[in-house]
Amino acid sequence: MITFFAIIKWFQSPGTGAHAEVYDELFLTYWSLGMIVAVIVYAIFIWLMTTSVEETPTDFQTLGSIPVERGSVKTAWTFTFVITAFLLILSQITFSSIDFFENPELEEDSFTVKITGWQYYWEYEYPNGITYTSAVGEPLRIPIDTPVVFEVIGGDVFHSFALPEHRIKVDSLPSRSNTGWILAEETGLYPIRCYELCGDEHALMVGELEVMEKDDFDAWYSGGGL
Amino acid sequence: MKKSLILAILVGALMLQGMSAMPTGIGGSSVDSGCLCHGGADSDVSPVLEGLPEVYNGSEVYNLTISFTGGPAESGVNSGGFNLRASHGEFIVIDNTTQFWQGDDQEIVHTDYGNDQRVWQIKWQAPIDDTNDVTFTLLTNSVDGDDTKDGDSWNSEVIEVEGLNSDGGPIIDFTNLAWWLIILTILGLVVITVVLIMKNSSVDMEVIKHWLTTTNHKDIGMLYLWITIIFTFIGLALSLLIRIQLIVPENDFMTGGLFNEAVTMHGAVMVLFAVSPMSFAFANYIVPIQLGAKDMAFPRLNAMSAWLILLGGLVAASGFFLGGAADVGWTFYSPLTSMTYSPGLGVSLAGAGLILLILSVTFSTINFLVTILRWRCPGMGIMQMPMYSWNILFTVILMLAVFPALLSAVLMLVGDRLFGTMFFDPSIDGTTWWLHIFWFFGHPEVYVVLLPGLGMAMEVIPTFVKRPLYGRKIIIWSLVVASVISVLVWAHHMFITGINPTFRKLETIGTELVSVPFGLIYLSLLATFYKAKPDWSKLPLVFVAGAIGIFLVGGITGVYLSSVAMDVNLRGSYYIVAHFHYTLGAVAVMTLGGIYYWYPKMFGKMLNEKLGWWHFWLTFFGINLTWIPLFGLTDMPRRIYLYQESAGWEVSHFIASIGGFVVFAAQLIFLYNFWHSIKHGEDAGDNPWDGSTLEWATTSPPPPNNFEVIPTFPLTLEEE
Repeated sequence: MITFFAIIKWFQSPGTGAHAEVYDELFLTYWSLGMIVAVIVYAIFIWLMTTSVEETPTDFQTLGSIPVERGSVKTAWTFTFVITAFLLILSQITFSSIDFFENPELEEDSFTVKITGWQYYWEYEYPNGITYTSAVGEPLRIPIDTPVVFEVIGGDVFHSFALPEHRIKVDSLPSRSNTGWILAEETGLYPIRCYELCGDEHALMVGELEVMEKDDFDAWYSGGGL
Repeated sequence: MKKSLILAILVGALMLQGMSAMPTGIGGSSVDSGCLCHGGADSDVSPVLEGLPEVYNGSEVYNLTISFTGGPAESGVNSGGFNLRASHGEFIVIDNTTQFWQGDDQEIVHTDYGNDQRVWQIKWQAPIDDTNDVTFTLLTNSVDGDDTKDGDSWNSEVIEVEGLNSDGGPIIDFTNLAWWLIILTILGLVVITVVLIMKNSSVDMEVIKHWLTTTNHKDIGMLYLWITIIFTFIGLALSLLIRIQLIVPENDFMTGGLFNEAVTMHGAVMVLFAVSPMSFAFANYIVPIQLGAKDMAFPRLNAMSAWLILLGGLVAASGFFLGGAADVGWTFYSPLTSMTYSPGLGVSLAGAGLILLILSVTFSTINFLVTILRWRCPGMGIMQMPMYSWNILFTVILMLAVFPALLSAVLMLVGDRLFGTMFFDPSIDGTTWWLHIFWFFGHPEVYVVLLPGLGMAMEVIPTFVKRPLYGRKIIIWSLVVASVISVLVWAHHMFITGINPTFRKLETIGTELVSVPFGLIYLSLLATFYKAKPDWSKLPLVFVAGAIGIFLVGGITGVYLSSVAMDVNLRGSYYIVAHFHYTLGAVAVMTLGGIYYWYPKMFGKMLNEKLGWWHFWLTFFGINLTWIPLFGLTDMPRRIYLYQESAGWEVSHFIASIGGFVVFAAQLIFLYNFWHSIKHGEDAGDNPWDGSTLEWATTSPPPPNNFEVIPTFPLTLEEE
């Protein structure tokens, strides 16, 4: 049990925010089921590998003989049914999560930030006209406990805008904007990374997200970003 | 020429209208005489370029500040502009006030945003080769902001910077290790091959002529094997470069561009020119014999396929020596592949290589379809066909279905690059178009790689556990279902690119259903061991069992990825990379099992067992050592050449890099074993493993026409 949680801990970088709660629960479900399946299959595998009959089996195929059929179709259908049912249940869990990621629960003070990916920085544009880029070393600022929508587009090539700790990722295509949203629950600084190879300095396309207290954010925002 | 002409006309037209602002900067040869739209040259204005050293170091990045003094007073709006060119090295844009001139990273100009200021920040990366002096040409405009050219002025300045080894430096550039590793690998392989030919034949011209002109399917199988061994080692050498670069945080072993070349070519070479064609080495050699045929249906076409693979791979890799190979990822996502963002030869050469490969694949497809469907020996119905041939049949059917999509995609890409056809123009959403068409090919391609490996496992396991394959017919029908589903689920590679939500849910279910047929195949392979007598002293069985163990990890982690919600976080991360290396790694180990299985038939000798065991354990532990740590990096983007220590990824990468070297060392042991045993191995005899399929009914190696007389199936044993 300790090993189990140690491993999942190592799999999951620390997460925060509304998306991470949903996502981490989903990951735990998949992870647990995957572990159970793996343990069962490996146990069977090792048992089969280590057991052996004494004498050469009678249905051993000799050179140039017609292939012998083993196994029953009934078993195959049973397994087909079991695996399919198992997967369809998994799909249901997945679908409720993706619906949550897709449909922002907007509130009165929600707003949309336009984010444009450029080689190799992010440009942020707020509804009141504040515009700046990650290249000048400024973080993307959002208020805590407020759903904020990101409208992401690529300025030149294909990028992918992601907040790994909030489990949010939106592809930034040059031709079409995609949306994602965030509901931050802890103040602090978090990395923003690009997840699609966008050229030589792809590795340096790193920005920061600053989740601020509402008052601090309002002061910054109404002050025109100063 | 044409561009500058149009530009000159444009500039002229603007002047006539008295609109002198050129908000987004200009470049090209027309600025040599200054920017026409901003008055005449004025000795008052003097451009300033700060941040350059007197002597630069190769590959180092310098922060530059561009400004000027003199000219009209600053007005705050439309107050200045610049154009800066460097004879060597690359500029890096760091904010939206500057941009490359027409995608050329050696020429940089201001943007609309940068038009209102008089100071601009950029970076410049020195060339790797530090033996050249670099000339910077800087032009600055001092503008008064009244939208007329009166009162504006400009000036230019030339700055020279010396390289560290400009005079009398070493002729060989040791700083670029990547080059030398690649060249040494290729040279080593060439030397070893030549030595081998000399040893075997005392440089007999007839032998060389024979190998160049052969149309016998067994010789062509051998050619495929040698060609793919060369490509495999090129791919492995490239992967070592990646592992060296990532072994510590902020490593400066390679630049971003070089790293991207290594990543791209590693992927392309391994998937398209190494693992997949290596299966076809055995398909060529073994399938006709298994079917009791004399040869392939079209022997000359077959020879052409083999040589086209070699040519295609060499053309794609030749970019390394012609200014840089493709550096856009093996998926070639648009618009990074366009002339604007990848002006070098690399992408076009990779495209040309792919076209040659696709021709080869198409010829093989026709050849195998006809051979398998029409050339089976008398008495062998299609349901009695050996499982390896079955898997090859499904492989070629899949290839027939999806490679045309890749061909059209690559032709459009090359058309865009060479003739400006604009198929993948972003304004008509060419990015999405490329994604669809590439992954329609790309997803089934995974099964094209996988199925021959599974086929080998299905031959090896029954032979060594002394019982028939469990659920033969179930497996065959599972392969049918898997092949059909595989061409319908490409969009799971584009879950978060903005495709329709309902479509994504369908794709999620479809992708999950892939695990039904493969689950059945997997369980059938396991069930074959039931109440059987496995002989664990035999290496082919050991390799296949190891591969089955590895494959389960790849399979289960793949189910995670089929979930659209999980994919939101895992997409583009190291988790994906670890997942597909587990599946493809399993295929590679299965293929090794196939080599150990059929080597006695191909060379008439046994491989050394002791070295074989070393090979197995090192490969098995090496693969796990490399990829288990990287599974945990769910937050690390793939294909990045640098990471900060604060990210906490260095332990995983350190362990993985050691694993990478272990795998490579194991393959060197194997290569030695492979060569050494051709001459010095124990004699194998006709049927060393007690195999049941027809290839074991002939001599090792088989005579030119495979059998003395065409066999009838089932064989009537002559001894009695």
